[in-house]
This record gives sequence, structure tokens and C-alpha cells, in this order.
Amino acid sequence: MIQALFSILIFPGLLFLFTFALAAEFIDRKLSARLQNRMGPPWFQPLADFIKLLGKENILPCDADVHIFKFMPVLALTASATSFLYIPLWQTKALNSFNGDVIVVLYLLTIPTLTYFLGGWYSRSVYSMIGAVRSLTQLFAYEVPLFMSILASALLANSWNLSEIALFYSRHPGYWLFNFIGFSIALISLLGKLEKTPFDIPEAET
Amino acid sequence: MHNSQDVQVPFGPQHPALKEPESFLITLRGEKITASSVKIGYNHRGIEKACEERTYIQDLYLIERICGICSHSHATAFAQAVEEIAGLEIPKRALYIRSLIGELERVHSHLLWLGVAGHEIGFDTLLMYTWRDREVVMDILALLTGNRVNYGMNTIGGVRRDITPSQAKEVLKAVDILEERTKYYIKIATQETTIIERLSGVGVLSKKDAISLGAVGPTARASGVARDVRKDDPYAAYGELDFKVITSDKCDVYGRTVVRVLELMESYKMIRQILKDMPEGPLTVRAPRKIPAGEAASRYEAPRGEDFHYVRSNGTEKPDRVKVRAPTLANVQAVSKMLEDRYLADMPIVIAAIDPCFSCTDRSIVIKNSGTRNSKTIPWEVLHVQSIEWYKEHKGIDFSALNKKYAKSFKI
Amino acid sequence: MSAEESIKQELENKFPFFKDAVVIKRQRRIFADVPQERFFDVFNYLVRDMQFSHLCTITGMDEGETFGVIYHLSRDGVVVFSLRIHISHEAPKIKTVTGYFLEADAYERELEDLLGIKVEGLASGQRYPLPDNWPKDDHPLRKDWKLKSEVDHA
Repeated sequence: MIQALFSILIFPGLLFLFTFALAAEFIDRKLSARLQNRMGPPWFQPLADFIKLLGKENILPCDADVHIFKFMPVLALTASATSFLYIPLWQTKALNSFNGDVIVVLYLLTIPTLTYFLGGWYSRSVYSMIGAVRSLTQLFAYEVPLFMSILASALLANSWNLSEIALFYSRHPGYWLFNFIGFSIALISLLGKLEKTPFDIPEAET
Repeated sequence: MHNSQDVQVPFGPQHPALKEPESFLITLRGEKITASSVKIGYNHRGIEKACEERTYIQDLYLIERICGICSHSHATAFAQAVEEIAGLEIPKRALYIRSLIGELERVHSHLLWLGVAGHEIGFDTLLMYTWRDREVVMDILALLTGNRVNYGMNTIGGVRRDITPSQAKEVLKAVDILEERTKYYIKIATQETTIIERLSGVGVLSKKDAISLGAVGPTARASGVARDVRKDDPYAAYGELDFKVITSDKCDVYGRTVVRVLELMESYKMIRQILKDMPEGPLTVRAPRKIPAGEAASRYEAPRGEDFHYVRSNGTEKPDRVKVRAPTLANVQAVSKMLEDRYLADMPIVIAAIDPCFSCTDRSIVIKNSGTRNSKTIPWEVLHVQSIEWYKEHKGIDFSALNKKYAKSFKI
Repeated sequence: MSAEESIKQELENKFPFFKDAVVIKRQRRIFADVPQERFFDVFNYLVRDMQFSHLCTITGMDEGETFGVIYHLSRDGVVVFSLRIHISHEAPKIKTVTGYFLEADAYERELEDLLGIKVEGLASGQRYPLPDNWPKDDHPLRKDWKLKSEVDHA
């Protein structure tokens, strides 16, 4: 019981994910700043930004469907946080695994994009609606390549269980060569999923 | 002619994509723009009226502050007009110094524009690089004039500061650095496929439209209209300088980029020539306080286009009428034409491509209660009601339904 | 004969009433006064036949007894010809030139807003440059306009 609680809350659970996300954001911003001949933010910047954003006022467009509008971000966070239950982080065995959890994880990771669309649509503001429609359009572009590359590696490992896939590849390290193309495609699709430049049209200024 | 699928989106005056306050009402069908209308006037500050109540020297400082980046253009154009009325013969050294600062200002403005254009198309690295180079120019201008923008270099009758040989050497060193970097930007602009693809075919303005809509400056020159006040109507030292008028027949935003980048190279050439050929001599001639009655029209090639000043004097020490027509006013009416049949995502770069500077364009009146200096604090609820009334009266849009929803939280 | 001289000669030949009204101030600058009734004849001739294809701007001014409206035309960006008409103070009215130059729209709106000169034929549209809640018959650029004691700005 204690073990499960520790795994879920601390490591490799929510606290670890939170810290890791902040660290990843820092590396991303520092690297892009140095590439642009700038200095970049100090190491605690993402944490400072997080604290600042917590203190901001929640603006609700008056015509918006309040419940859906408030619920969507919660749904997005929950879905992506839940998916870590099935992703092996520290060992080849994830916290929980069952046959077919590759599909479940991919599905859970698609939910945030759908919530962007629903949240934007239900906010009844022209600008958000345009962004929502754009994010859904982008979804069609990158989802299929992402799915295909991940499922291809699953096929090679002959299993639909993420933990078993990880076990397979740790036993046969040479097989990374077959997945090289898939990996590159998945990396680019990931940029689209995270709405990073140049795929940041939904949050672009027009 | 409103289709039921057409959506009207107000764009501005405050919008993250627009760097200047202007308001567009665009009608969208999906992502395509079917109609657009432009409204400007948000930066109106009453400068033309204020000029009539101040002496010529005070006016010079007021006119200079119309805009931060074109400040020297406006100040020189005004000074030229007044000097023409007064019949003053400006010493050659002063004319050369004016041209030098003018060209440095042009370099500054075009580098700034390159950065802004990069930002509008999502190319933030270009923004960071060009604005780093802009620092070089601003440092040079601070060395020569004491200020990074709004250089108080002009006076009626000449210039106020001299260029020492050591300053000239610094300027030449800076120009060498900038030329290196500009060559890199030219390479990007002409060979980088993503930029070419992004900017080509966007914001097209044919040569016929450019002439009939009265476009000026790089906007017109990119449509093949070879109009440059420095060549056509030489002023200051431009009659003796050797430079090319850069035009392009691409007619789109890509053409405007190429024109501006190549103009940077021409400016470096001109700066070197000015510093080499600068004649010795006095800096000013004495200008009378009371300018004799008369009128003059003066033009200046600001970085954005043709800047037109008209001054009329009536023999006193205050002008009778000062009229300023900034280049952006001539260009902004072409924007509606350029946006026809384009996509929403092209809007920021098309607007940015005319290099808008609405501080120059609108110069209208703001009244302050100068006597008693008391201000009214308007509480949020009253402001809310006032804004609903305003929209109902002036735009015909009724937001009173909003009021009911918020009435409980505001307790109106 | 310089370009300015030849322009002056041509105009005086075509419009004999113009004989002493065209003044060459200096190189590339010509100023001329024309009575309001003959304005469009001269304007048409300048724009269509003499290739003054660029309208720099339209300046309106309050001359005390009359309003002066100056049309600054330029040919190929070289010579600037400033054509001025005088209209009465009582009911100032002029006809639009947007048929010749589309950009005259903004310049004429400025005349309407700041001086109160009615421009006939101007397409309806937004005011420029004054804000929307400025009183309709308040014209700041007139000489008799006084600074009001307080203007409400929300």
C-alpha cells in the first residue's frame, strides 16, 4: 500500500513528473536561447513561471459553457498523468501493465488535443474557435504517423504490452536499427502533438 | 452579401500580432479573408494643431517626436521647409551630416523591420539576430548624437553637433561589422527556401494598383515603381551621392524583403561615401526668429517611404499651418487590396510588410484639463455601463445582455 | 527651358485665366491658385494629360475668412505642383477626387473631421482621425477653436 502510494505520488509519480517537466522546459528554453545568441533564463525560471501563473485571475467568457470550459483542462491533465502508469520509466516493468496497454496509452495521450478543441469551441470566442479548429486539423496530420511508428515497434516485439516491449528491446539491443526511421518520424510527430514551432499554429498570434 | 458561413472578426487595435494600433474588421469564410476594412486614428495626438501654437524651434522638437524610428526624417523635412521659406543657404557640412544621420536611421529601421518580419512568420531567431545588430547602430547613433532614438541633431539653419574624426572611425568600423552580417541576411533572404516559400505570393500589389493607390517607399518599389525621393527630388547631400534605387518586380512581401535588405547595402555604401567626402565648414547659419510669410512643401525619403511636409508662415514666430503626411498613411490604404483573397494566417506579415508606423500617421488631439489637473477615477462598473452605451451608439452592437449577467456581480 | 517653365507655359496656354497665378518657387516646386469653379478643369488636365500621377497629400487650412485646400500633385516624384482653391467659411463644400486617386479617401476624411469641410461624393465610412465619440461639429483645426475645459474620455 505504502509502496503503491509512493510510486504514484513521489517516484516515478506525480512529483517526479512535475520536476522532470520543469527541467525539460528549462533545457528547451536555455538551448533555444543560446542558439539565438541570447543568455536564456536561469534554472529556476520554469518554477517561478508556474507559481506566477497560479496566482493569475481565471477569465471566463460570459457566453461560454462554464462547466465544460472549466472541466477540460482538468481532463487533459488527468489523461496525460494517467498514461504514466503504463509507461516503463525506471525498470522495464511499468507500474501497471496489461495486454493492449500500448493502445490505451496512445489514446490517453490523444485526449489533451481533443480537450483543446472542445474547450476552444465551448468558449464561444471567435479567436478560440479558430484555434480549436486548427488544432483539430493538425491532429489529422500527425496522429497517423505517430501511431504507425509506435505500433510498428510493437509489432516487431510481438506484443501489445508496453512493459513486454521494453523487455524485448532490452534483451535484443541490436533491434534499434529497424526502428530508426520510426523513431525519427515519431520525434517529428511529437513536435506536432506538443504544438511546438513550427506546429504551433493553434496558439499562433492570428 | 453576407453568407451565413461568414464570420466577422475584429482585429485590433490591441492584438498580439499587430505591433501598431490599427483596427481591421475582416470577414472570414473558414480561413479565407473575403473582405476587410481598416480603421486608423488610434494614435492621434494633435500635433498639427499644437505646432500652430509654438515657435519654430519648439515645433522642431515636437515634430521630431512624432515617431521614434523616423524622427530624423520628420525633423529634417520640417527644417528643410522652414529654411526654404526663410531663404537660408545651409552649409554643405551640415547637409552631409544630415544625410549621414538619415542613412544610419534607415539602417536602424530596416534591421528592425527584418526582425519584425521574422517574428511575424515565426522565425524568432532572425528577430534575435537582427535586433542584436540594431544595437550596434544604436550605439553608434548614441555616440554621434547622444540618444539612441529621437536624435536632436537638426536645428533651423543646420545641425547642432559635429562629427569628429575619431567618431567617423567608429562609424566606419560599425558599418564594416554590419555589412558582414547583412551579407548573411541577404543570403538567408535569397537562398533560404522556407522564407521564399512563405513570403512569395503573399500580399500581392500589382504595379498598376501601387500607382493608383498611391503607395510609396519600399512597398511601391517592390512592385516595380521606381520612386525614391532621394533620386527624384534630391535634398540634403543626396544630389552628390552615388547610389542605386533598388526595385523588384516580385510585387509581394518577398519583394519587399529583398528591396529592404539590398537598400541596407546601398546605405552602407552611402555612409562610407559621406564620411569620405564630408567638406569642412560651419555647421549652421543664423536663422531669424520671425520667418517671413510664405509657404513651402518639402519631401524626405523616410525608411518607410515619402514623407511630405507643408509649412505656411505668416511673418510671426509661430507657423500658420504645418501639415505632415507620413508614408504609412499612403501605404495603409493598399493593405485592404493586398488582403483580398488571402488566408487569415497571412494577415500579420502583410500588415508588417508595409512597415507600419502609426505614430507617424495619426496626429490628432488629446485634451488635458491643464488648468486644474484633476482626474476622474471611473469605477469598473460605471466603465462597463459606459462601454455598452458607446458600442450601442457608435457601432450598433448591443451588449446589454452581458450587462444582465454581470449585474449581480457588479451590483449596478 | 526647364521642366517647371514648360509646365507653366503649357498651363498658361491652355487656361488663359491662369496667367499670373502660377508661381515657380524654386527648382521642382510650383504653386498655383485657381478659382473653385475652374478647379476640376485644371485638375483633370494635370492628372490626365500632364501625367501628374501621384497625389502627395491634400492640405486644408483655415485662412481666417476662407478655407484653403491645397492639392499636392507630383509627376514621377520629381516636380511637385501645389494647386490651391479657396472656399467660403460659411458652407464649405468641395467635390471628392477619389475618382482620380483612391488614396484621397483618407486625406479628404481628415478635411471633414478636422476642418468641417464637406466633401461631396465621399463614400460613407469611419471618421478619421478623430475618435468616434468626438462631438460631430467640433472641428479642432479651425482658428477659432478653443481648448475646452474638460473632455470626457472613458
